[in-house]
Amino acid sequence: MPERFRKVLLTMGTRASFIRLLVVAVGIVVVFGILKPAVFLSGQNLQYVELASPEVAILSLAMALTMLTAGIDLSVVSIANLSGVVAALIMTNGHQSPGLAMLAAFGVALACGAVNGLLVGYKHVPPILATLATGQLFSGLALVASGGTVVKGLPEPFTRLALLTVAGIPLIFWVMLIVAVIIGVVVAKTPLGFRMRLVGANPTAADFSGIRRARVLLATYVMSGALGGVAGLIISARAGGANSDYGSSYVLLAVVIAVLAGVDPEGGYLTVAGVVIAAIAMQLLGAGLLSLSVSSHVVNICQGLLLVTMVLLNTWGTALSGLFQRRRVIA
Amino acid sequence: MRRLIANQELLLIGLMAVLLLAVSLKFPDFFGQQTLFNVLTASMVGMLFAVGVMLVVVSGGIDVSFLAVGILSAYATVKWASPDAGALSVFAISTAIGLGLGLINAAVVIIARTSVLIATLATSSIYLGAMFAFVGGEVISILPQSLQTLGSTHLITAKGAVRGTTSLNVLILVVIAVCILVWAFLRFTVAGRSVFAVGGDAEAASRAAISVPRIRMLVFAIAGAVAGLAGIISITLSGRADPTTFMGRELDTLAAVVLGGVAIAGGKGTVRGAVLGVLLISLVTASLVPLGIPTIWQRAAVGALLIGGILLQTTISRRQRIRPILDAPAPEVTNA
Amino acid sequence: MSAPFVEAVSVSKRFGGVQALTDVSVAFSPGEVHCIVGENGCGKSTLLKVISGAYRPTSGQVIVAGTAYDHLTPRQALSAGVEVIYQDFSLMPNLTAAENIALPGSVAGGRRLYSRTAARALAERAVVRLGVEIELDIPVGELTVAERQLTAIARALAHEAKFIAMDEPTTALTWKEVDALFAAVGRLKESGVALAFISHKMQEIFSIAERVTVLRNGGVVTSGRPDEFTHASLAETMTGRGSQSFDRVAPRNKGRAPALKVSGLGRDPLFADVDLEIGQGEIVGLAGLLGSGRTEIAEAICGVKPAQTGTIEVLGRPVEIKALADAVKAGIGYVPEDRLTQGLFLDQPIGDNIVATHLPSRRGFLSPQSIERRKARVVRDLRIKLGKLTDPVRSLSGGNAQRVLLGKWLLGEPKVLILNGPTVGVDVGSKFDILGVLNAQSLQGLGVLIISDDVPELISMCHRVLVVRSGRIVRELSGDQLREDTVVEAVTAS
Ligand SMILES: Nc1ncnc2c1ncn2[C@@H]1O[C@H](COP(=O)(O)OP(=O)(O)O)[C@@H](O)[C@H]1O
Ligand SMILES: [Mg+2]
Repeated sequence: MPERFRKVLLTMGTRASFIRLLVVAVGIVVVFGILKPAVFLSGQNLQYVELASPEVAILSLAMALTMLTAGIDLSVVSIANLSGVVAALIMTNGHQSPGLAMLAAFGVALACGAVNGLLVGYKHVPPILATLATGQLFSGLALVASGGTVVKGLPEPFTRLALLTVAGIPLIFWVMLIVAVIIGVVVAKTPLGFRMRLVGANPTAADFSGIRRARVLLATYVMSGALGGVAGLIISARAGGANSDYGSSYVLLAVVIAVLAGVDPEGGYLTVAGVVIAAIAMQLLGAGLLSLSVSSHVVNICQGLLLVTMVLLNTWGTALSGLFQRRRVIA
Repeated sequence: MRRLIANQELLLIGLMAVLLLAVSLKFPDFFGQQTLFNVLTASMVGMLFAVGVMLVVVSGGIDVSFLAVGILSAYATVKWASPDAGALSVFAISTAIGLGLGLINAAVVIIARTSVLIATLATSSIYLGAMFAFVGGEVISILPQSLQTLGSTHLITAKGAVRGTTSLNVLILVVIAVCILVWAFLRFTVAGRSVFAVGGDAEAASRAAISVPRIRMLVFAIAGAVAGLAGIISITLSGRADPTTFMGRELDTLAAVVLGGVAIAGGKGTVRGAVLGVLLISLVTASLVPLGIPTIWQRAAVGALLIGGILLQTTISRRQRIRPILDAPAPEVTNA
Repeated sequence: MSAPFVEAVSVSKRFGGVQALTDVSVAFSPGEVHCIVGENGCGKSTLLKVISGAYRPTSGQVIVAGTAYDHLTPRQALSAGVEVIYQDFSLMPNLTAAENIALPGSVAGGRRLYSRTAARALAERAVVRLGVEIELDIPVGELTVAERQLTAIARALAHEAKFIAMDEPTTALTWKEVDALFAAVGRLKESGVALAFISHKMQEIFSIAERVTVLRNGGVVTSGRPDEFTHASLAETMTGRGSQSFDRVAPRNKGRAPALKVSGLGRDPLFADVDLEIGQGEIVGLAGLLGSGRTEIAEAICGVKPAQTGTIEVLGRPVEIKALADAVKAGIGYVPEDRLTQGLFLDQPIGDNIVATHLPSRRGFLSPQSIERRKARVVRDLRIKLGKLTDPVRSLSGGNAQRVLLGKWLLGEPKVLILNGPTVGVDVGSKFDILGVLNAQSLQGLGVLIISDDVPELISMCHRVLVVRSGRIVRELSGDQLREDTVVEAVTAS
């Protein structure tokens, strides 16, 4: 692999975990490709994955960003749903253009992120607590706004966004890639990203280095909220409607993907490329299991098992590989 | 005064009193047995879950698998129980399954050395998946006869405030008994005190001869058993076993626990607080309609309440940290 | 002499890049007070934690009551009668003092039931036996440092210990409390308890030791009876060098504005009326006991915990400091007390640690070239010995890690540099280098404030030493007054 390319891929990720991820992703493709080549490798399946990955990947990026600062955002799915509902209401009841609706929804998402950021950064509330509470509030507000039902009848120009393809690839997949590149640049190429990493690695040392931790955290949670907003719009465009408790399992999924990508929940490490690859890998796993026509619940089990396995490997992986190496020397 | 505000439990009781007063001024009937029974009935299952979660949180970690543990234990028990199984054995089996699942949680946390949150996210997804994939997903509406009987055995039945009757199920005694047992465990056993020690500072606890993994196992086992019991009580009370009952409600229980003054970072919490937190949320729900607020606001209201409670808690805990230096006797005085 | 009760046999312990202990063997016999002495960071606490089972040694064994352990657990140690007063106290902050005192015994004794009254009574007995007063019924986290230290001591005395190890147990105590402790030590000795006493205070060592073992850089240098040493020879054995000092050139800057001028600084329960002035090119020491307010004063000047009253001027210009970032902008740098938790991002690359504070960027983006240049410059100027710049800083030895911290602040070309314990846990060679760098910088006009326990170091480095007691600056020593005995006396007077 050319040095520069590898450097980009590994930006701030641990090498071992990135390789582990690639092994998992390739393993999924190979296993299902052999088991069910006709279904799994079909164009239809590929397109399903392309359409289903973006929302998951973007939510996972939000989760990964907060994990980079040793936090977590349990409210990101609620933010997605709230902004989806807001956009839907503006389009249906308010009869406004999709553009305006999307802007408003994005604004709501930023505001939600700012609330999280203020609580975590300036009020020193543990992230898990803050986002637990705000998640409750945001989804409660979405529930009230939507009246507890699915807001339907979204205008066609909006829902078409989910179907458009550019160069044979769905528009929303492009959106995901662009978002990922932006986040990747922020994390790897800006002082903010640098400081986010340090804040996550050791908040006390960050304070003692003259880093304005509160500001960094505020920016982090605003970004996370913004990503939630984008995901919410994608979700409602794809579903043709919005409601307050879409995708409650996405919180878990986002954590799984982040951990799978080697993001350290204790802070300090993030690989954007890894998160995107992991998100796609999880969709491939889902699609693969479904192609074997097992129940969708087995997918849940596999996700859980995968998470446990990855955590085990993160804890014991180096010790194990050390063991193997020593064996090889002896042998 | 500071101590008074610092005591979150008193605050909760005060808040509940204010709420009761506000609604009762509008509807004098609200202040009565019926509201009491409604709130208690609505809280029974939540209290058990909250007590279990409180234990885990005190020991230092956030459990999100308790609902999956509860429903899997109870649903599997009911599904496979013979129609004439005795209530006692059904309850015992569900509790035992819960205990086993709790031990699995503990094993993952201890072996993978990961945070409780991540571990229980994973196990809860496995438990739920396993239930739907291997146990079943349909609603069971015919429970074993013994459970049906139990579900309609009331401790007290009184005349309703407006019309009809109002009653309180006998299972409230079980809930109270569990709460007392957990309270006694935390207060009167060395292991119970060790739970606080581990939550306060695991490193210091292990230097004080406390086996941190063993305490974790114990905590997860108790929490799992309590969750299994809560699951079966929920099914008994509702008269049907719906595997989707609790889906996505984890955060509600955590919210109650936090409201009850349990420190999310571990080391601090009481059974009383957790119970009060659940009661407050039930009372809020019960009060919304009489106050003219649609019930749809419940979640948002609890969210707002929670943010208030958390802000209060963090402000107080941050303020207490400063230890005076200047107050020490001035050097001149001791020199003389 | 009777057979040793506790013995460490060829113990070594490594933390990442730090070799904390190398092949250390010591033995502790019943009825003997055995002092382990050495400079800060020489491995005393680590040795003790290995003996108590808190750390597993990288190699070597611990023998307790005739049984040899490769990996002793704290529980095994406690059950065998090994009690330790840790330097960081290792108390549970959320439990009351009474519980902290009573619980370990109940756990180690395998008891199941816990009684609050019995625990309270046990704790009370221990406190009375020690002859001090502690508030027993509030969480330990709310106690003062001294009370927590006394709690840790009472805990060790509460149970029928056969071996008690004390890691610098007197740092926060008053003379009266120290006397009480020494009396207790005497009684324990009479009753045949083996005692280990860690200290680097000469008076303490010579007043209670019956045996002295000197550690330096993680290894045993020598061991003997106290009458085989004099103060000077013991100090020399600890440091490995004779008393040496820098050629202190008195700063000639009468006309120039002071690098730092602080007037009337105060923060309510912590410190008050702090006035101090550091000239350009002047090195000033700040001496005081743990908990005297010395760290709080430094942290207020640099904005970590800002003061409520008072003014700060840098080079004659008043500056408002509400956060460390303000101080950085004003030209004040701060090397914190605890390198491992406050100073460094242990798992992050060495290079990134160097540029953590002064991060070059252009138009919102990092500028990689100038970042690399800065990293290289610091490594070269401070002679940091490292593998690769991308290795985690954890892999560095104490001396090199401290150079990283120093370099990180010097990058910003500050006007004032405040250093809290700059040579703690640093080997002798690095120590001399670091002090040399500070000296050289001061010659170029940098104002330096050094907070240190190491009195000889303060005396050899500083033009003036200010003494802090109970949150106030109570004395200023300079010129002829700047001697070890005067500083020690001023610091510990009560
Ligand atoms: N947990 C740890 N991780 C990394 N390094 C450590 C740790 N504990 C101690 N050290 C290092 O080991 C050395 C010895 O420390 P210590 O035993 O605390 O010294 P002393 O008690 O003599 O002052 C120091 O260089 C210190 O920085
Ligand atoms: Mg020490």
